Amino acid sequence: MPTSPIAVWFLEPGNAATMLRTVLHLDLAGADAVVLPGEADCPEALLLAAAASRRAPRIGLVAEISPWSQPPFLTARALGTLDALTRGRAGWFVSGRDTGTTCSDDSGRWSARTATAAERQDALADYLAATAALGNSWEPDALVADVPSGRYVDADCVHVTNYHGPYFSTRGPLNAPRPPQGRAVRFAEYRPNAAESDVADVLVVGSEEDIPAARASADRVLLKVAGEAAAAPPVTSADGYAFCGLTADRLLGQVLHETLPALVPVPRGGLLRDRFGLSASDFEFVPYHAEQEVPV
Amino acid sequence: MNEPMTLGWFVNYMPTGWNRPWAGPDPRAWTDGSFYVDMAKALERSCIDFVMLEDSSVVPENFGGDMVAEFKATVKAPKHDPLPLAAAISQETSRLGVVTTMSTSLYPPDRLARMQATLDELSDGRNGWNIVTSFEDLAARNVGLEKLWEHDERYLRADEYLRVTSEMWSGTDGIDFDGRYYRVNGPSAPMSRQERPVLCQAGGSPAGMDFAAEWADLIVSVPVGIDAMKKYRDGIRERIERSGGDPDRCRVLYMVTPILGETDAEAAAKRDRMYSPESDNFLRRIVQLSNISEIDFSTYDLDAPIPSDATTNGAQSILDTMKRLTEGSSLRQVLGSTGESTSLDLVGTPATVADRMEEAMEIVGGDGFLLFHGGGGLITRRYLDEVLDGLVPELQRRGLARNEYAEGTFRERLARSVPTGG
Repeated sequence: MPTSPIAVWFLEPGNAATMLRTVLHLDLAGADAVVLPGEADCPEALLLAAAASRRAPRIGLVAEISPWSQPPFLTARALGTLDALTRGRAGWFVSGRDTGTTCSDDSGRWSARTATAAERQDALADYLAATAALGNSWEPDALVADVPSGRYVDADCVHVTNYHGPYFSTRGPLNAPRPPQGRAVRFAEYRPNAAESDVADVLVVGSEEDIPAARASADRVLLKVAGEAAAAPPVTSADGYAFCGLTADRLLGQVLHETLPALVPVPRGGLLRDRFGLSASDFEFVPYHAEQEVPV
Repeated sequence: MNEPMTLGWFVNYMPTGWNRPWAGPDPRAWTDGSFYVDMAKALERSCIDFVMLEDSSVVPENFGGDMVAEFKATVKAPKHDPLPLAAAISQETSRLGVVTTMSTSLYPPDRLARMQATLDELSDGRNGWNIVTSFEDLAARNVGLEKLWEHDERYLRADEYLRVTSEMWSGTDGIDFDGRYYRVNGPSAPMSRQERPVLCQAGGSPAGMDFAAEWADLIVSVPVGIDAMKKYRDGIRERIERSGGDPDRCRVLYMVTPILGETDAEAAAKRDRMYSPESDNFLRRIVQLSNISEIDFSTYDLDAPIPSDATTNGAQSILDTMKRLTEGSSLRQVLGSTGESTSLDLVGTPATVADRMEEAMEIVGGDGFLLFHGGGGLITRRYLDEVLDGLVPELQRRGLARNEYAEGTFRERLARSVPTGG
């Protein structure tokens, strides 16, 4: 467990320059992580996170990637690369919300276009299982770089995934090695019985009452604070705070320069997973069978 | 030549030369991107026009039927996603063009349009898209397809794909597209600086050349030898003219791997070592040949010709070529001597190589070159230095390479660099 409250910032959409500047300020102010939104009318979150990776060398960079935007393989790969580029500071904000965009093709693959809410829930769970299966296609010590034998990777430690879920299929393995954190830390907003809540490492709740239920499924729970409450976060039984809805005005400056430094007197570094006190992402490869649940 | 050539560098987000001299201290250091961010800065110091980041998303099993040889040769894997790397590079450079490879068969078009629009904003108008359609069925299966569409069909699809992305980049009112292959609804993805990314393509086949002539601002190609180079460029220009376009709007670049030394003899010795059957590069080249042809060359005797009755489910044309080349010789000898991945043999001192490049451009009327460390070699800082500190200054002294960047976006700069040949 971290000794002082965890501070995660939900960045408001804007242009790239403004958003990047705020990430730098947050890095200096000691925020543990920043969540970059997946809105259609602002810069794409994963690329923005990668763009911040050099200038903001400490803060966790959490990208919202919609499961409806691309196949699980591309998401698993992109998050793995973000984790490598940030040396273990990558996160994924998982949300199945409607992005206002639909794209389908004639390949017969499932599309969210006409899906009901219930179907989307099932599909989201399937998407998460597919990305998890891909994430475990490389064992932690697969990259051997053994000059005498000429092996860069031990092929015995890389496994064909062969994931065939009800909505998504992927053969695998990933073509990229396992990143520093094993996989990106998963964030979500708490919703009872929702797929993303079931698999998140870190959940955000809107009120104190939801904390016990959220704790039952995630290792860390953050209380959402917005507006004036962000400048003076209330006492909570949560592990920290999710600062939301702060745009460039007086309040933003106050939270950045007074609230955050007081909350996190010594900014935390290292793997994002470690600073949240999360356990290591263990290798969990099991050959896929249709009747068997994939460990997520 | 009045205008300097256009010069780019093609590179993979992959292991650097990890198992040979000048490997550097850490064989895993490539993963965090530092090597490639540093490389981009070095390219910018030398006023190279752009870096092109390659992509593929498979661990091939063509050679030997499993991943073992691939993971020794590291031809395609392991590899990280070039898009986040491009975003990181965009913040550490200010003039260099940053081209990313993305496959129309793997990415949904709306997603691709949005990512390129973001790269345009992050780079302040310096992004390009290297359009590929993929050719590996394993890649298709990674994204939930059973297999890829056949070759010409992929280009028909790519054409519609480009219509979707173009509409998303130019529009502001959203998109409501219902085509033969794609249905896309949602907000636009307006570009902030360029009207669209600089579009790059490597079309070798007739369908590929038609597609390139229709869409590409920049074509990269590997016709071998000056005659083939000229023929290829003339073919592209003819196609553009036939469809009523201005052939000068498209640059044709040739892929080359200069091999440089203090003396011509030293460079020649280096070349011989690079292409020697005893070199580690040999395994890379034969695995690479298996990957592009989807023929398992591990099933043939290295010290004999390919049997005349050999057949394949992979690329028949490549097998036929190898049969012809190995007749009276052997697979080992042929792979030990060919430099098929480079348009010109550029071997010698910087002055010798510059002479050869100058001569080629005068005859071909070409637009420039795409540099890469080919021949089966893996990139090292040493190689980069040889080209950037040896060859490029020699080209600059002759006015063949630029020694300062012009103003404007990547697209604007490229459009102004109209060649005097052609």
